[in-house]
Amino acid sequence: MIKLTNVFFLYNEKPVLANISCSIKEGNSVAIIGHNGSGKTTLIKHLNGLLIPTKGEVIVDGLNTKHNDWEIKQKIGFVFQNPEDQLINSIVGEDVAFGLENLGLPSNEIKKKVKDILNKLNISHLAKENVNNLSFGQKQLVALAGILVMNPKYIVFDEPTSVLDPRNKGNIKRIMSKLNKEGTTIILVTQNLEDISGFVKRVIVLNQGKIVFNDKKEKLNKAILKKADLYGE
Amino acid sequence: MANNLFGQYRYKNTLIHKLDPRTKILLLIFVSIFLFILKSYSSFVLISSFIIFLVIISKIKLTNILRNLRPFLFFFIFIFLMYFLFSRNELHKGIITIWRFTLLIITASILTFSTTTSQLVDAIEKLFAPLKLFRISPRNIAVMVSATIRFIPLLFSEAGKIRDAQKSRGANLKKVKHITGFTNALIRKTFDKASNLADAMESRCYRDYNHSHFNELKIGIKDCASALFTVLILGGALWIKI
Repeated sequence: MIKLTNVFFLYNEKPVLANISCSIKEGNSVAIIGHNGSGKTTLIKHLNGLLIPTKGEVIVDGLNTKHNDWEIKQKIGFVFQNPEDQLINSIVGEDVAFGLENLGLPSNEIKKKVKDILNKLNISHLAKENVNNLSFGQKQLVALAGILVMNPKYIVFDEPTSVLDPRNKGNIKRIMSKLNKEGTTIILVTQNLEDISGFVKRVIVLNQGKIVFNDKKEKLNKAILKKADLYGE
Repeated sequence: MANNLFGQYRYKNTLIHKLDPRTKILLLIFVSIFLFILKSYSSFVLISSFIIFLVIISKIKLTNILRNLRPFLFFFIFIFLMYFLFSRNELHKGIITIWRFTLLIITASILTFSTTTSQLVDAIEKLFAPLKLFRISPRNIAVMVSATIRFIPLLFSEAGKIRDAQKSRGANLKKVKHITGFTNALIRKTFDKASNLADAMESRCYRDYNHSHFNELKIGIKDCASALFTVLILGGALWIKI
């Protein structure tokens, strides 16, 4: 379980997150929504220790992000908005292997895991391709493969569909839903209300660094969305 | 152009592709040193035949080699003209210089066409291992090289986008004021990308110790035989005439 307790985060002495307390249970599918600048990305960067709270604490399966960030990063995979920014090696197979290399797995095990994950995502034909030659949708799948291959318990998706065409958007949504059915906890960050249809069970709404709603998706209503500046006229 | 120079690896099932990247890097350094030592046409003919042989067995397309040479064409013409206009009696030196650089570029192309970035990085890491004595992490250096190679084409693409965006708003990139705006935007983008990359690396548990490699590097018989063969050719070129 991920548990945030009274989390405050200040940037240039201005509060970006203010008194955030919530928990995300294993196997759940949670959407974090909010307008631009509401603190969504700052919040999720606290989940795997990329940011450390100015005040308060984030506990993942009993481990505090202040002291155990490397162990926590193995548990929480992070798919960034722009795949261009997270592909580190030039060749697909080698990029997917990057995380496993850091975990120190033997070469033959890395190769097997990379092959399996590329097969699972139907991109095994890209294994030896240069990432610079791929389409945006393919890059997003390679970035996802690089996370899934590490077999994380929780996966955070930071607006994964915001720059994709409808076909690739549908593909990523299907993958998220399938992963959740297989038991992976999905944390989806979005500002697009369409994205929370389907597999998402719980919604956290952020506004100006504060949680204004944290409940089942069905309970989300127009008034809350208006309050969070998410309801267009 | 950036894409042509970097990350141009093409998978082929050849002996050159299968060689340990450390062997390839060391042989490239070795051949380069010899190219600067040798001065006679006969030794250059021998080394050129050897390099052409390498191109053939590595199955690299001639068009790819020519594409890598094209950016240097102006440089070659310049050298030739300088010798032709100001030192005509030493024109052969100019020809040797152009020949030398052509062979250097072809040899480097063989390396980049037959070796993935990650293999190069692993090799650099192993070759720089003695730096650990000075508390410098070879892994960090290797990953920096890898990220640079990966990001150069991206930065070219970002520069293109910024240029187009600024031109569409009437910027004239020949004016210092507008060049400053372009440079500032590009630097800002570069720092953003670097910051995002650092987050992505950290999220994937990056550390510079206790890590393993996707490609296990092993010096085998093929490497020893290739090194011996190269040394024989270079020795032969030296023996023919310096």
